[in-house]
Amino acid sequence: MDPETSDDQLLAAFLGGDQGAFDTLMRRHEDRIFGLALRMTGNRADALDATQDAFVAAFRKARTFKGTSAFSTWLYRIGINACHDLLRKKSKLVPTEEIDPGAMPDNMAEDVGLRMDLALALQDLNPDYRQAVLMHDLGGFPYEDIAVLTGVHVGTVKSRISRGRKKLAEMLEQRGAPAASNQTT
Amino acid sequence: MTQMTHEDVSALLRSYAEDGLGKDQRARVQDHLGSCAECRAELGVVTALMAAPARPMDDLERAALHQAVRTEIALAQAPRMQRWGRRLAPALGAAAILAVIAVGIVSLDRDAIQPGRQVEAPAGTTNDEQAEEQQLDDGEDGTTATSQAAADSAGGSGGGSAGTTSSGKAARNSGSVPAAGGALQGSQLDSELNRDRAGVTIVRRSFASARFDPGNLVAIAGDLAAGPSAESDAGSDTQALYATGRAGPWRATVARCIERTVSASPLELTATSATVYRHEDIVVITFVWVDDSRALNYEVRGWRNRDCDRPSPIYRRGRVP
Repeated sequence: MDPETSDDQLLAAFLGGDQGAFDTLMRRHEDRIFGLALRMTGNRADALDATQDAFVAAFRKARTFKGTSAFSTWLYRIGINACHDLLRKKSKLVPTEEIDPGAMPDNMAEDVGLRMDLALALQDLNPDYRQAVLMHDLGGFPYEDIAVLTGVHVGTVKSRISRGRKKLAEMLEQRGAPAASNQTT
Repeated sequence: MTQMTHEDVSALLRSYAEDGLGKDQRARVQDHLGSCAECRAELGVVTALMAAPARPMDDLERAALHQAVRTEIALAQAPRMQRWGRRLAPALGAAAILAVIAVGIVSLDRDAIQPGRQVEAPAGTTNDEQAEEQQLDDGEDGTTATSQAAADSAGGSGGGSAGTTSSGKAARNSGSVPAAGGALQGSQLDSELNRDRAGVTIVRRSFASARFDPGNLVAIAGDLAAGPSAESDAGSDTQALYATGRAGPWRATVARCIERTVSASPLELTATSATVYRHEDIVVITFVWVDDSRALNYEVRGWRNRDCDRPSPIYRRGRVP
């Protein structure tokens, strides 16, 4: 596997019949998708389900990828949709926290309660806001990419993100897990 | 310093959180944050979202995920039983081929049907197709490690089933009832049973029919380290492993894992095929079988350190109608 091969090249190879290219793409992006799913569902079992669903969907839809956005953006949205579908199927995903000795106890954001609350809050958030927030804040995708992918103006993306964050902050505060950061540095 | 608006700050928050802003912008954002609780609240959310997840996938979860993805894709492309005679292009190599085999092997051989067991023919299967599929040479080509049940006859009646291994050694020989519509009838046709050295029955199959490539009929011991082509390619090097015995201790390990799983399964798991995946010290095996409604089911299990005596949890499972 050549680490220099771009996503686009791998995708082209895959569409040209190289099954191994899909494996490579999967390996490249699976942690990110899993991280997204874990953030959204709050538990590993559902996160693994959603990750699996996402890659199966990507495989099936590979031909429809137009290249107007980056492959990783496109895949990320498939991941969000997979989580969303899982949500719908299960009507509500209940984050079940596992006591993880590997978790970083010093990091407030890793606090068990906050992680669960965040997952629940995300599930309750307006889907448009949620998609925008996840893609930008969690996925790190630029506004332009998100705009192209979701078919709206950059301004709309920005306002969705801002409103989504505010709503999340409200919900988190209501649950008693203040997300407001006192840090200014 | 010009004041930043909420919108300006909001648009910069993520970069700010990952320390990606230039000194000047950073200072201006900080300045705004100092007196704006709303924007601080937004920043708090951004920080929470950006925090790393608790624990990334470990190697077993990862390998099981790969297997499950491949399996699900392959099974979705496997023909329905009533159309099982149709040629199927392999989707992802091993899993697809074995799934096809699984369906194909679950062909109905009416001659082998035990009296008293009702078996329905797959719709659309003609006598010609059945006859053709009955040409199963016992050739040199590859082996497929499957659970004993695949080769068992209608075990429900307890004995005297054609094709059953004579020495009934493997624990799962007894009482493994075929799950798929009564179709897993033992017969001279679809199996010749061989004991491998580990004492687990390996079913040897090969097909004379041009529809199946005999080179692909192997139990796959894919090696992650060798890269994607070794995993997804059902072909030559893995076949060579089994044919020449170079798999050595891994073969025994794999066989043992399969045997223990099948014999211990409360579901009377009658896996008709297994795809094996190994890397360093883990083995991941996907069991595929057909249920009564002809849906294809799979379970992915994994073992570490070749410790097949420890029952494996089911890492992934699914059903493809």
